Amino acid sequence: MAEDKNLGEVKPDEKLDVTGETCPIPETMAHKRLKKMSVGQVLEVYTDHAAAVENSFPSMLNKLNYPYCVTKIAPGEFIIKIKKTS
Amino acid sequence: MNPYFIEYSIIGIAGLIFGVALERGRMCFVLATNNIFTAGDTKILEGILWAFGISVLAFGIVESLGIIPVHAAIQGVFPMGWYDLVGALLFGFGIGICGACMSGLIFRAASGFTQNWMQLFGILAGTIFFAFIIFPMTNFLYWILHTIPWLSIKPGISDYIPHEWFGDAAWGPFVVALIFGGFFLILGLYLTKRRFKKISNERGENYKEPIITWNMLKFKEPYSPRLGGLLFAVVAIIVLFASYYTVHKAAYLGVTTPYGSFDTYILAPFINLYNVVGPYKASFLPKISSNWFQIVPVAIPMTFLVICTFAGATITAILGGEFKWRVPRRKMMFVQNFAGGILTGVGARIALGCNIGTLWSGFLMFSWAGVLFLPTLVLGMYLALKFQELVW
Repeated sequence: MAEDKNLGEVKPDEKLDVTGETCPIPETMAHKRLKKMSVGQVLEVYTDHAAAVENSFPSMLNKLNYPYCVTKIAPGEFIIKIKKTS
Repeated sequence: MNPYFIEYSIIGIAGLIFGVALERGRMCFVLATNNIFTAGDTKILEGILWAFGISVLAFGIVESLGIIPVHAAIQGVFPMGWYDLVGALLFGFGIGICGACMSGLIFRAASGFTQNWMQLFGILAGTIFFAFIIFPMTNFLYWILHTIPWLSIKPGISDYIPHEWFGDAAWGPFVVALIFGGFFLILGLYLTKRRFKKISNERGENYKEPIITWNMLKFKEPYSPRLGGLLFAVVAIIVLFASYYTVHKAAYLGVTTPYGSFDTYILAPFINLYNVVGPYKASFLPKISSNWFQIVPVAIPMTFLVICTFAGATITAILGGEFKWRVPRRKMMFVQNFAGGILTGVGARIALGCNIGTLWSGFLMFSWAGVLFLPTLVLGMYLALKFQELVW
């Protein structure tokens, strides 16, 4: 599933802050949180680990087939919005 | 001019390039394996395979042509043994729970991740623990020298695969390089092609990633891992040539022994590491060293390389706008990284090196050390990933 820029404006149902943490923690925690959420809900992840945003999250979300949107809010700081679709 | 000055100067430049490649290419063995285990994504692995493939082929050509004579090349060869299997398992688990291998640690610490500084402190503590407790109490040198004959240190050239397979044939190193390096490079190219094809099918367009762009050179976007891998190989070749043509010894990249040097600098004002006799000195082996620091030199060019690697990675993190002191919200991560660092340090010492010194350089030395280190390293990282999925 490629990036879906429309998700950027969607209000998230849940938020996850993994500031200062590196792989595999951000994507592992996001995956666990998504498992607990209902289909159709949106998770907002705040991370400052660029390598996770460039590599780990897209790989995981492509495999899960979940649409996502990455927004760079400051140098080295990102918000990823993920929609649980199945 | 003093040849050591020239050697250190060139290796310092190589260290800067190494730091750039690490930070910009996100070259981390843990990141590569986690992406494979969790999503089957091979992007980072492709860069590592490029690094291994290109450098191994280059070393084979250089040695077969006699540009670096075999007698010089084997001076730095790491022997292989059971300790590679044991050490790599501990090391793999340690780096796995820290989320950063020895090279990944450098680029993350240099980008301001405080939890990776904690991993670094853990490695320093683990090395001291190994040096003063494990090394003398287990008579470590005795065990690596005299146990399991088919998995113990053999003298000199015996651990050099080209000699083992082809005797003194000049083409030996090239053929061995073609087998190992060719395998890495072909696998890397195949995985890249397969990944592009998969993305192309998903997007319905012809997908390709450039190896290099202007934005990469201007630090506006990260390097493709394949460019990072290419730079890795260039660094290994520079280090080999710089050491051979200045001090006439072939040097191979290593990262963990330099951390031992940092320990030496920290401890030296308080303890005479070279005279002190540990409480566990083995009486039946009078010549055995009483602590690990007594068997390694302090001033080695790789220590300077590591310092310059930190510098290179920090510079590009700043230029790329990615340097920031990052403190984890959950302070437990400091404890996890310190504990992981201790395992990393102990594992690396047992295996006589890390994913750089024993794994990659093991292949560059044409020693079986790299081959033995790999399976338990991957197993350790896999177990660490499962442990974290369970705990967090």
